This record gives sequence, C-alpha cells and structure tokens, in this order.
Amino acid sequence: MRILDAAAEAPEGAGYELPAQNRILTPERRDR
Amino acid sequence: MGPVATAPTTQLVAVVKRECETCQMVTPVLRELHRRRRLVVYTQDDPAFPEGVSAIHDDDLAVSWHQQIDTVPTLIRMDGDVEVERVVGWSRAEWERLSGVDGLAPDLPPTRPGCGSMSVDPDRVDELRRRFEGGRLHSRHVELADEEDDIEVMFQRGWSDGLPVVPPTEARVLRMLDGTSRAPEDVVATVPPDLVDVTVEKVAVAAVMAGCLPEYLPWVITVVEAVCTDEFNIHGVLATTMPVGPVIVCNGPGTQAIGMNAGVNALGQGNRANLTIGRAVQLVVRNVGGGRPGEVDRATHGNPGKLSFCFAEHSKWSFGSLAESRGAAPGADAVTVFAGEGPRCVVDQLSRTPESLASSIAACLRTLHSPKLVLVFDAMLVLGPEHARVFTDSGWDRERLLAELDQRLQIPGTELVRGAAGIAEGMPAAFAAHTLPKFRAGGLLLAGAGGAAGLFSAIIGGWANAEIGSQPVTREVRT
Repeated sequence: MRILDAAAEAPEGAGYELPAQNRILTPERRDR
Repeated sequence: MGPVATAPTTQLVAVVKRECETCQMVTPVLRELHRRRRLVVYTQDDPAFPEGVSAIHDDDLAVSWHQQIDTVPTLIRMDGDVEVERVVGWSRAEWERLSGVDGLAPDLPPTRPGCGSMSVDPDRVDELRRRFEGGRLHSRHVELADEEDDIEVMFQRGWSDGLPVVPPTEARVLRMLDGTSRAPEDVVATVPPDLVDVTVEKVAVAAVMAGCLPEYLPWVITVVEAVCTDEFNIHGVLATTMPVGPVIVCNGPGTQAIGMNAGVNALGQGNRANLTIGRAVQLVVRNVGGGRPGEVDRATHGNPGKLSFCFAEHSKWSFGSLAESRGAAPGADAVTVFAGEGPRCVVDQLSRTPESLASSIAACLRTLHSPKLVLVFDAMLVLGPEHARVFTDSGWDRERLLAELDQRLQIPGTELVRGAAGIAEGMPAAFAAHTLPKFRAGGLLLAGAGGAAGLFSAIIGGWANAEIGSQPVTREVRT
C-alpha cells in the first residue's frame, strides 16, 4: 500500500525514508 | 432526411461501448451520422464496434475520463475544441436536434436510457482517477511493506488522535478532493503551533483519515480557516491548561444536505458528518500544525470534545441562526467556532414561564468555571427545543432572551471578591463596590440543537476571551 504523508512536508533532503523492505530490518521489526 | 443545420465548424462526437444494448441499438444511427456529418466515434471496449464506422478505441479511457462521460451512448456537439451541448442516452428528438439531421432511425423507439460508462465503473474509477489526476498531488508518498498493518502504521507514525484513522491513499485523497472546487495546492491557512501552511490537499488527507465524505470537505476547510485566525487563536487554545478545544456550530441548508445532526444526541456520537468534520480539523492541527497533547497541548484534563465537537443548529428554530446573528448572509452555509469545554446539562422540567426558565438557566450559567469569576470567559447556551418553546410561546426572541439572561447575571461585587463565601478564588477586592455581569457584551452565544423531547439545555464554558484568549469566529462556507 502507498499512502500520502499526513504530516507537514519536511524540508527538501530531510525526512528521507528507506524503502519499506529495508525498514523491516530495524530492531523492533526484526524482533516481532 | 432534413438539411444539415449546424455550422461547418461544428462536429459531433459519440462515445459508446459494445456491452451497452442501447449503443448496439443506435449503430444504424451512428453509421448514418458518420456518413452525413463530421462524426467521431470513441469506443470504450471493442475497437471493432460499431460495425461500419471507423471508431477510435478509447482503450485507456482517457477521452471518456477527461470528457466526463458517465453514460453511453453520449452524443456531444463540439465547436472547435469547445463542447456546445451533449445528449445522454438515446432520444431521437434530441439526437436530431443536436445533429441537425431529421428522420433518424424511425424504426427505433423514441427514447432509451444508456448504460454506465466504463470510466465510472466502480471497479475502475479509483485507478483512473489516480492515473489521470494523481499528478495534482504533491504530498510525499509513504510506501508500506506488504506485511505492515496499515492501521498500525498510522498509530506508529503519530498521526492518530488515539482512534484508528483511515489510511490516506492517493485514490482516497483524490476522491476527497472532488468535494471542493479549490485546487489541491491552494493554501488554506497557516497552522500553529509550527506555523505551517496547510494546503487543500493536506486538509483532504486529514479528512480522509478522519472518515469524512467528499461533500464534508468544504466545511472542514472553512473550519480550518476559522480556527487558524488570530482571533480564534488555536495556538492558545492548544497551549492552555484549560480543557478547551474548537466547538463547531454549522448553519445553512448544506448541513442537511450532508446529513448533519441537529436533533437527538446532536452533541453526542453517532453522526458521521458531525464527528468527522470536527475530527479532521483536529488532525490538521495535530499532524500539520504539530499541536499534540503533552507537547504544545498542555491541557490539565482536556475533554472528550477535543476529539471532535461539531454539530448543526436546528434549521427552523425561532431564534434565527447563530451564524446570521454574527453577520453571515441569510441562508448561507456557515460555521462558527468557539473555544469551549465539554457541555453541561441544564435541567429545568418545571418552569412554564420564560421568566422562571431564564432565571434557572442564568443560575446555571453563573457557575461556569467558578461562580465567583466573571467577564473573562465566554459561554455558549445550546437551547433544547422544549426549552426554546417556553420562550417563543411568550414571544421572546434571541435579543430578548439574551437581554433577560444578562439582567439576571448582574452580580454584586461583594459576592465575587476573593474571600467572599469563604472561598479564596474570586475577583480582585477593588470590584467589591461594583455590580459585574457574568459575561462581557456579546460573550454569551446562543444556539439551538437537540431532540424534541426533554426540558433540557446545554451550556458550554469558554476559554479566556478577548485579546488574551480566543474570540468566536464565523465564516461562510465556499465550495
């Protein structure tokens, strides 16, 4: 699923997010 | 056959699909017009249809979408690039008039309705909207992994007010934007506390998350505009330790058109429009403005109405609308925002005269915030219909009722000063020699809502008023 950011837009260059498949590797997600 | 009556620069455009029986029925007519006139046929589902006509296959439905075709067959007369007129479905008389060709297919029935265009097929419409209008949106996209729970993601990102929110997909936001004529990039307001410009698109995102229907969007936009004024001061309303939030009163025929509740349980749960309009506004303040509880929002207790406190006023009650009393045009759709706490019930089931009931309500109003504090807080009185009738049956109007309440809320300073009645709280000692009104001039707002049964009204205490606090704001809704 792809959603739109509900928050105020971050300045250009800030708030960049890793693609979803990479985010899965964060510790909390790995532990679940 | 009659003469060709239309100018040579005009041409006809027909949009059809084979699956439609009416389109199949008018195939001979299309052939005839194709032969006699400058007819361009777009076929949605089958490039070989209609037989005998060289049709253009609208395979991606782009023409149908951009021409806003909702029914096939549709016959359009164009003058150059400009549409002059269209006929939907089959009507011999209308097709003859539009084409300028008489005697079309005399063996066909005179009229027959068409079928739904593929471009409005519920299975396709969201994808088409995303494909053809997605470029209108500017918000950053957030990709969720397949195994992520979309509702939980909303919570994890801090976008929720504590209840589940609807994920703002591109399709949902585009659908929401159909509710307004305003461009997505239009800036609605600058939202405190972070002082961020909020666009129509971001308001639409919040409206989706809150559960709004597209027709609510103009109301949400208007309320966002109203609360983000210096007069209303949403920054202060957020930051105060008092339990206040925007109380939204909606007026005008539009309230009924979108199904708002002014009747039974008007201030309570159960009505989608009431609840989601107020909720969307708070989500804008939270997610765009950065106004979150425990951060800038420092309320000691808060109140459940900070999730959403929005209701419509009775359209035909005898006191006239709150919005009109505050300058809105008669009959206009309008909102009034008031920084208020939760409602309290005024119980009086025995008063049968307006004088008695006014005294009863005034006694309750006096207790708001503290019976010993006056002038610094506004309030709203929401009269229930049965209470309202006690006044109107005696000929009291809005002005009379407010004047009578004000008269009953003139309080001797000796009862108000600090220490009086053994209570340290109160007005400064200098006021002991004065008689003070509970409310400043215009500080008591009067609205009408509630179910038909019950000799009750509701009173809503406000926040600090005037320059240091919040002023009620009324705005007309524009689509």
